[in-house]
Amino acid sequence: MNLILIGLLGIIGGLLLSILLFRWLLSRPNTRVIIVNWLNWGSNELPEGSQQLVRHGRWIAYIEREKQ
Amino acid sequence: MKLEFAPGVYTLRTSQATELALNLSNFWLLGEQFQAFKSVLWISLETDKVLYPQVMPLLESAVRHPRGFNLLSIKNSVDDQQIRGGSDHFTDMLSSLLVFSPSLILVEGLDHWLGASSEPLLDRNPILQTRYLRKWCRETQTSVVSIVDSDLPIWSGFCDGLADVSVEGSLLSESWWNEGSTFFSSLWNGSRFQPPAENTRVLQNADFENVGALAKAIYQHRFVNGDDRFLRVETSAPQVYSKAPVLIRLGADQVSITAAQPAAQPSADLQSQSEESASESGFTSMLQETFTPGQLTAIPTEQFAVQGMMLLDLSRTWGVSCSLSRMSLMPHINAIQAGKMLDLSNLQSCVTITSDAFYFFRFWPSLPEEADLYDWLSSCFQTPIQSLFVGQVHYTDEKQQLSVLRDISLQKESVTLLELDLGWDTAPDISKVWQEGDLSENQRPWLPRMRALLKLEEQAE
Repeated sequence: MNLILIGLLGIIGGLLLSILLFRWLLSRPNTRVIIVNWLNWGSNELPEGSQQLVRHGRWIAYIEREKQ
Repeated sequence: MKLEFAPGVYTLRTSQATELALNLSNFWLLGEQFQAFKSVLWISLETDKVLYPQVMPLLESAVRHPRGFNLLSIKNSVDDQQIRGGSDHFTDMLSSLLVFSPSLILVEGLDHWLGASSEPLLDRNPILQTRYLRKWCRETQTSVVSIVDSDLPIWSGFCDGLADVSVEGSLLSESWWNEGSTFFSSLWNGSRFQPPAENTRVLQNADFENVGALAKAIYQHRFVNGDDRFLRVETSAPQVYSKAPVLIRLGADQVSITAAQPAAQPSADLQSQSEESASESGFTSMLQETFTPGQLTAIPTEQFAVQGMMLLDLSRTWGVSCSLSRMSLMPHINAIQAGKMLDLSNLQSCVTITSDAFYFFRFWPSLPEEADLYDWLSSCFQTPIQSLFVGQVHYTDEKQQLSVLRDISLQKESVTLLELDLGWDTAPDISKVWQEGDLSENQRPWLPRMRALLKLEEQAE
């Protein structure tokens, strides 16, 4: 019984710690950009056919240079 | 003069939208302006091929790595009509793109979201769309700057700021501008700064029963009394403060939000003054024209339905009545023939024409009698209306008006304005009315500003 209780408390504590760590990472500009890129939030709600050309200061779009 | 943005929605009119957006982005990247914003998002109508040679040098010359800079091209979405209209879809998209706040959003083609024709009729009310976006901006500490190089959309009249800007990013003239706790305007006095106290009149919102009464007093000050003094409006109510763009177009010079004061009894003097002596029908006509600049004329059916819905919503807030009249054509009379009989100089409402009927929508100071409506409609035509129409139905009940407006929007056989060939081929576009005064009347609220603009152009020449 005690072991189950300790296990449950451990899981809850772990979850809480993860949430706090995640929030702290999101509050810092450098790590926030990494997380946002990793989760690819930048293209979730974009209209069909639109293209993100610059993300966080870097040109990311592919351009067919031969045709330029 | 430099541009500054508080959280809200602004419209900038210029000659080349992309070039202005590029220059504003450049100011931020080089650390010259807008440093209060942690990030800048530019939504462009150009393709990557056009933008690459312009943007890359800027990114490379930035003071430090521009981590907060994002650029989106919506060119293909617009061409393929893939954008889901509505300010809610626009804010959903922004939420997924924004990383840092406060943010500055430079948008070309905001029209594709606000008032987009793909949306259901009830959701296309321009004032509600703008109100939602302004509220979202305040909550997220975001400034959305719509950049237009063509006709001004109707919703631009409800933004936190409206100005003409050169492509280099310098302010040419401003209609009004929200700087956080005060809306400034140089529309009436040529200067946004408050003169000494003896040349200033202050109106407190607490002295009036509602915002409609306050608006009447402003209108009376500027147009009935012809008072040249600087008019400052003070309010502690955010709902009234958010209506500042309309109060300014009705004649106020400055609208400020102040700390909440103990509720005061509406001042009997001011109240009776605004009720008795303001030219009531002049006020309602001006109010309707303020909400729909340049549209008190014949307009397409869909536009009529959208504007009607908006005006219906506004009539409640501003304490005015409205009427919707349907005039059915005689079977042997052609809509185009009857349209040529319209006396446009005397029209105080918007009108739309379908193959079998004419529809009129008008603001009134109080609920009109049947006889008043008949007299007014008779005066809208150059010939007796009995010779053109079988009869008229007047709708003054809101539910009926809504249902008729929905029906009008579904009309398949509407008469296009081109077919009428009345010497004008479409309803005058708003920017012409605002800036060039094609329909100039001395009482039009934008006329002083228009004159100022003309002076500016003369100086430039």
